[in-house]
Amino acid sequence: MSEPITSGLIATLERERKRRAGLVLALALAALAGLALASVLRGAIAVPPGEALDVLLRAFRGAGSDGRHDLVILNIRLPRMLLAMMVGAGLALSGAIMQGLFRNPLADPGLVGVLAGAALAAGATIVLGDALLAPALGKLPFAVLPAGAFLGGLASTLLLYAIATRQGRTSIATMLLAGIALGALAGALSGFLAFLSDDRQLRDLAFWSLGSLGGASWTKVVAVAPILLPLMLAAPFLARGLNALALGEAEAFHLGLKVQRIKAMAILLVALAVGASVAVAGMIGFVGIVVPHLVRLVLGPDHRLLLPASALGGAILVLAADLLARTLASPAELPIGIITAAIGAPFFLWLLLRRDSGIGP
Amino acid sequence: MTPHFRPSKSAALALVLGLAGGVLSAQAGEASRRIVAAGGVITEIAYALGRADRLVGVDSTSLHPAEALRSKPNIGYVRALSAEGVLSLKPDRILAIEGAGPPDALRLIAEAKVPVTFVPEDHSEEGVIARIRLVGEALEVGEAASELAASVRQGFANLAAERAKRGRKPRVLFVLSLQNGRVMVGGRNSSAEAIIRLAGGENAGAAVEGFKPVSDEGIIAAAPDVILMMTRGDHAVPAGELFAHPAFRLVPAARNEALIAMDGLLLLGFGPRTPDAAFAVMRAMDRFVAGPEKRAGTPAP
Amino acid sequence: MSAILEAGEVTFRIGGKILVEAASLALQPGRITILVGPNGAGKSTLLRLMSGELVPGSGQVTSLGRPLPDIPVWQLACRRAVMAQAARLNFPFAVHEVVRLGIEGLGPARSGGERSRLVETALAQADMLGHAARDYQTLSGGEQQRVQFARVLCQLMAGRHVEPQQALLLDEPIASLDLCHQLGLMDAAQNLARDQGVAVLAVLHDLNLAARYADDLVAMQNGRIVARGTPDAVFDDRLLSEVFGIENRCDDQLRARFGPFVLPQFCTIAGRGQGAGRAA
Repeated sequence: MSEPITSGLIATLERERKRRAGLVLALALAALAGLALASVLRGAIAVPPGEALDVLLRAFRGAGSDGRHDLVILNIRLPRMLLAMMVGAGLALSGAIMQGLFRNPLADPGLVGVLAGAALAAGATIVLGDALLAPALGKLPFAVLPAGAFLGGLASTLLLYAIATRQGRTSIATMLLAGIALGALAGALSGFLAFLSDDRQLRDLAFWSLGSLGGASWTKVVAVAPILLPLMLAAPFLARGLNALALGEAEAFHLGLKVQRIKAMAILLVALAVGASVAVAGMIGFVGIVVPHLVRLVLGPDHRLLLPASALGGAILVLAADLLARTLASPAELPIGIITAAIGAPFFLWLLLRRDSGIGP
Repeated sequence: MTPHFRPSKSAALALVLGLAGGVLSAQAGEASRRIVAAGGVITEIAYALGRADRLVGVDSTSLHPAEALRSKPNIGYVRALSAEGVLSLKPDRILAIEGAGPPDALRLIAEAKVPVTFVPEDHSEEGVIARIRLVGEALEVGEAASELAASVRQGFANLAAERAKRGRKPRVLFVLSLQNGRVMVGGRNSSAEAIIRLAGGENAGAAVEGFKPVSDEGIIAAAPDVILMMTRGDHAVPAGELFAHPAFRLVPAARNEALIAMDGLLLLGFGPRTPDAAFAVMRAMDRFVAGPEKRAGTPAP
Repeated sequence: MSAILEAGEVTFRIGGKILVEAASLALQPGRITILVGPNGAGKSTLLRLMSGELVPGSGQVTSLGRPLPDIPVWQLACRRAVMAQAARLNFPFAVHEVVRLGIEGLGPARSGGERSRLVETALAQADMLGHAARDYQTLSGGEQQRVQFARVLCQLMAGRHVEPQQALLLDEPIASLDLCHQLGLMDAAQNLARDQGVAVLAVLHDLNLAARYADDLVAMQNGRIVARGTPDAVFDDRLLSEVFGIENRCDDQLRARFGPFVLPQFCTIAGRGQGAGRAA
C-alpha cells in the first residue's frame, strides 16, 4: 500500500502542542527558580538579600565561614527548600503515576497502601517506641520515627502487591479493594494505638499526621534524594507504558508493552517515594491529586508531558506553601497541609469551572 | 489549648537536656538576657518572678497572665515550634517544658548555639519548687525564686493542713472534654489526678490510665460526687447542660449539680499558683460535700 | 510453511467452565477469517487466546512456528494488532494521541515526522482525520470504534518494516457503526488482506456481512468449532437453525445473485425472542 501524501495536519497539531508545552514548562521552571530564591532569602530572620547571596556564594566556593547568618541560610533554609521541592515533586509525580496505573483521575498516591502502613508504623513508633526501644537505645534517636514510617509504608505496599498478584499478574482491581481492607485494618490498629497512647503521644501523632517541613535538615535531604531519584529517572519509561495502559491492560499488552513489569515498577517506586516523603514531612495531602489534574487541564493527559510537568508543579506548590507557612504567622509556623489546600483548591475549582464553560482547553 | 503533664517517673530536679551537650555546658553559667519561653508554666513563673522583661517570645499556651501573649511575639504551639521563627527573636536561651518540639527544630536551635533548657514534668510539690528554681536561675533571680519557692512551699503546707481537717474524701471526676457525647476523663497518673489529690479528693476516674474516653456506664460506675472541668477562655459548660447528659444524670454529683469549672492552666499547669488552685478546688468541693468550713467563696477565676 | 498465527487444540477454562475446547485455527496471509456463533460460543475467547492475551490451559498458539510466550511482546506487537470491543478512556486524550498509542510499544525507532505521517494516514483511512484534534471522550461509540481502527492500522503500518508478515484481529469491530462505516471498515480490512497480505481474523454478528467478506467462515458453538469453510459451504438452513436457533430462509434466488443471504424468520429456542411461543 503506498502511503498517501499527507497534509501535515497531525505534524502541525503536534508541533503546536509541543510549543505550548515548552512555554508552560519554561514558565513553571522560572516560577520554581523564583520561589527557590525567595525561599532562601525570606524567613522569620531578616537577612539582607546581598548578605544571603554572599553566604550562598561562599558556600558554593567551599569557603567555610562563621557568619551570623550562615546557619540560617545553609542549615535551615537551604535544606528546607530542597526538601520541599523533592517532597512536592515526589508526591505529585506519584499521584500522576497512580492515576495512570489505576486509570482513574481520582486515584491517590496513598492507594498502594503506603500511607496506611506508614501511619500505623509511625503510631507504633511513637506509642510503643518509648516502652520497647528506649530501654535498649537509651533515648530514642530522631531517625527512628521516619525510618519506621518508611519501612511500614514499604511493608504494607509489598503485602498488598503480594495479595493482588496471582500467577505473575497483578490485578489492579484486587489491589484497590485489598487496599481499602488493609487501610481499614491499619486504621483500626492506629486507632487502638491512639487509645493506648498518653496525652503527649496523642499530640505527637496528631502533629505527625498534619505534615510539616519544619524538621528539614541535610541528613533528611541526603536520605530522601536517592529514594526519589529512581522514580524521576524511571518516569520517561513509565510514561509510554501509562499512555498505553490508558486504553486498558489487554490493549497495552497488544501494543507491545511489558504490562506486569510496568505495574510492578510503578507500584514499588511510588511506594518508595511516598514512604520517603511521608517519613520526612508527615502527610501533606492534596498535592498528589490536584497537581496532576491541573497539568492535565493545561497540557492534556499525555504522560510524557504529564509526568515531568506534575513533578515541577508539585515542587512549586509545596515550595510556595512552605514559604507561606513559614512567613505568614512568623515567628510561629502554620501547618503546610492547610496552605497547600488553601492555594490549590480555589485554583483547581476555577480551572474546572473555566473548562465547563467551554472556554478552556 | 492548655498543657497537661504526664507525671515523670523520677522526681528529678533540674533536668537540663542539651541536645548538643557540650554547647550547653559551655554556656550554662553565662547571662541570659533574651529568653524564649516554650510552655505556659514557664511564662507564668517568669512573670511571678517579676522578670517578664527578659522574655522575648512566648508560646501559644502562655495564657497566664493574659498580658504575655498580648505583649510578646507568639512562637506558636509548644509542640510545633519553628527553628527559624524562634531564632529570629535572637534569644540566648530557650526554656522549654519537657515535650516541647518537634525534636528537629530544637536540634537546629541547639546547632545555632542557643542552649535549650528543659523544665521537667513533675506534678509533685518538689516538682513545682524545682521548676521555680530552674526558671529563676535562668533569669538570674535566684533570690526571688527562693522567696517564691518558700511561699509556694508554705501554700502546700497550708493545703496539707486543710486536707487533714476533712474526713471522707469526695470522689472527683475530671472531665477533659465532652464532645458528641464522648466523654474524656482524667485517669490514673494524670495531672488531673494530682490536683484532685492535692485538693483532698479521690480520683473517681482512676479505672483508666491517663486521659481516656470512658463509656456512659463507666461514668455511672465511677460514681463521682463532684465533676471537675476546665473553662475555655470565659466559656464553661453550664451545669444544667452537663447533668442533662444521660450518664451524668445518674451520678451522685447530679443531685446537687456539683460542677467545678476552673481555668485550665491554673488547674493543671503545676506552677506557683498550684496551691491556690488546689485550695479553690477544695473550697468548691466543700460547697457540695459537707466539710469543716461552711460554704466557702466561689472558685477562683 | 507455518501460519502467521495458529491455534493448535487450544482449551481454555475459567472457574471450571469450559469457554473454548480443543479449537484449532490457522490464519493464512491475505485471507479474511470470520468467526460467527451465538453469544457465549467462545468467539471472543478464541480471539483473545490467539492474540496472546489469554494463555490456553492446554494446546498452544504459535506464530511462524514459535509459541507466543517465547516471542518478545514488542515483536509480537509488530506482527499483530488487536482491536477489542469498545475501549473507553478515562483521560481526555485527543483523537490523534490515541492513534499514536499504536506506535508506543514498538520502540523509538521512527522519527517524529514519520510517526505523524503514519498517524495521519491511519486517521484518513478510518475517515476520522476531520476529528483529529477532538477529545476522544466526547466522541460517539461509533466514532470511538473508528479511532480504535485507525489505531490498529497505525500499529500495522509501523510494524511492517520489522515484521513483513502480519495479522489483524478484530473483535466485533462494527458493532456500533452505521451501515456506511460498517462497509467502509470491512473494505479497509479487505484491502489490507489483498494488498498487504495481512491475515485478518474478525468476530462478526451480522451473518450477511460475514458471508460477504469471509474467505474462510468459522462457526462456533459451546466453545467448539462446529463448521468451517467458504460461506457458501458453511451457511445452510440446518447449520443456522442448529447453531443460532433461528428458523432461516437462505433465499436461493438471492443466493444465486448475491451469495449466501440470511433473512431470520423467528427464534426457535424456547424463552428466547418473540417467536418462542409459536415454536412450542
